[in-house]
Amino acid sequence: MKSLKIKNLHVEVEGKEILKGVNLTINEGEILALLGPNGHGKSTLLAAIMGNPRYKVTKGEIILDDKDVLKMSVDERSKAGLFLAFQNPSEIPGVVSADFFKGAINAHRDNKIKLFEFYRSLETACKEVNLPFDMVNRNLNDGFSGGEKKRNEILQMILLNPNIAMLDEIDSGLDVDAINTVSECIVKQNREKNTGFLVISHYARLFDLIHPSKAAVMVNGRIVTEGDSSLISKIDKEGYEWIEKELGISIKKEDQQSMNKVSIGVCATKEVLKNEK
Amino acid sequence: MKNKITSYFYEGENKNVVSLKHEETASFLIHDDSNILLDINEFNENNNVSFIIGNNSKLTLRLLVVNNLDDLNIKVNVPRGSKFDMIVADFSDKVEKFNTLVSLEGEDSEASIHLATLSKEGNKKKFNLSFDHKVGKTKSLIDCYGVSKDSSLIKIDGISHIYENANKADATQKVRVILFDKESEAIANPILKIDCNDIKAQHACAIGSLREEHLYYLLSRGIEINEARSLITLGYLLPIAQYFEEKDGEKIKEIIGGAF
Ligand SMILES: Nc1ncnc2c1ncn2[C@@H]1O[C@H](COP(=O)(O)OP(=O)(O)OP(=O)(O)O)[C@@H](O)[C@H]1O
Ligand SMILES: [Mg+2]
Repeated sequence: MKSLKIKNLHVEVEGKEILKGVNLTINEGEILALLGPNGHGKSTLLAAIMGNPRYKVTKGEIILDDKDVLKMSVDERSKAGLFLAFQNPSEIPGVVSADFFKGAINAHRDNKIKLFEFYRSLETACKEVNLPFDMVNRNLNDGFSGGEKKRNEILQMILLNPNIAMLDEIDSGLDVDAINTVSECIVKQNREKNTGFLVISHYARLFDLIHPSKAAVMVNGRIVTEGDSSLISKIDKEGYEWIEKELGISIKKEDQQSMNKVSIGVCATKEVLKNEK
Repeated sequence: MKNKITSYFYEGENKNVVSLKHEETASFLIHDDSNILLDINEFNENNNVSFIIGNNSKLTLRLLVVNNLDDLNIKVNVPRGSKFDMIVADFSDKVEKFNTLVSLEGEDSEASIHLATLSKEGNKKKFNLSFDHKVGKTKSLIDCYGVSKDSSLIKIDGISHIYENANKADATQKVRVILFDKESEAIANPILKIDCNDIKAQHACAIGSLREEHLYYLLSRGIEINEARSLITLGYLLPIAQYFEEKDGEKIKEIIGGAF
């Protein structure tokens, strides 16, 4: 059975340690819900697993089956069966979505996909995520609405059929119908393709629809507790305060952290804009 | 040194191919009411070329540049009711000087320049694309896409000048250049010089760096780094291929692919 094992992972961003010894295992076929207060390292964990060059792993291991993920380049990680649906997918002007999808699919196979087969699977996938087919002729995420970008991430997941898919707040910005559509895609992928999921969300609504088999909570850059889906309902009702009391952990408030005030998604975008000028 | 001087005459509906010789000064005369498609498939040092277009005619000039350009000067006169379109796909190793001056001399005349240029391995590419709107109801468009990588340079300037009394003239300048590394450079600043009030003008120039985030996004889907770069470049430069015959379009695609 395929599995992704994270052992004692320490990660730095711009000289600051964000992950301080994460241990977590995701097996093929299961859905793991990852929760935690804003700014405590959930997206950082996914970035480190996918190999984002801005995140430096200083200690620990990431193992996919028996392969050392940390030795792989970003594209090799994808080819090894990992997939990340981004919290804030990039808009890439100039790159036509269909060309990009074709390149991505071909990267995952030995022989190039036949054009007919490509368009057929693209059409099916568009229907599943409820995006109009002519979207594939547009530039990648360019001018897409928030919800369209999220659905486009799921579309790519379907096309690439990963062993382990990581979804970072896939439900944020989705309307009620779109959450249902996306949830159906997740459940189908999980049941039919046995894909393992690591799903980050702040809302029980998504989890109620996809029925995670396990849940974990990240606080201060560590997984502080794991359990079944009852953990999700507890957080939904009571928030995170009980963790301080029951587990004796003091939760760092956002204003105690380095990049406070705004959530990281916004920060990252601003950074990029600044760099460009 | 004596220049070689040649004159070409065209009329009716025609497709033509010419090669310019060393130090050649060539003038092309397009008769009234003609529709001419002209491919220049070879250039040489010091080429001075002028196009004199007749009334109510259309000239489409296509240049697929793969050999080096040292010094090319193009002058075009567009009279009443006529149209001039120039398509330049530049994949050479050097463009020392590429100057075009299009003079819109009659009402209801129109001209456009579409340029796609790839500057790589330390290449230097310098273009000057200018229009003179001498009378009213004239229209010009500059639409350029550039990719500069491996410490190369792209320089695109020129002046779209709208003369006094050229009422209802319409000038658009669009330039987009993407830089693939910190050592590469682009200077893109065509200017609008406007001496008349009742006109329309648009200017959009954008020079941007290839963003690490963009590359990471493509890589995260399994695409290798060189292919990712090539995809982004194709996105910028391949649209020019639509103006060429299929065979040349394929060639352009191949050249871009081969640059990575
Ligand atoms: N690229 C970066 N540059 C600077 N700081 C960063 C960067 N990425 C993350 N951080 C910081 O690391 C901490 C954890 O951020 P992360 O995005 O992992 O949180 P999160 O748990 O996903 O939060 P949210 O629920 O708000 O999405 C934050 O303090 C954030 O500011
Ligand atoms: Mg996050």
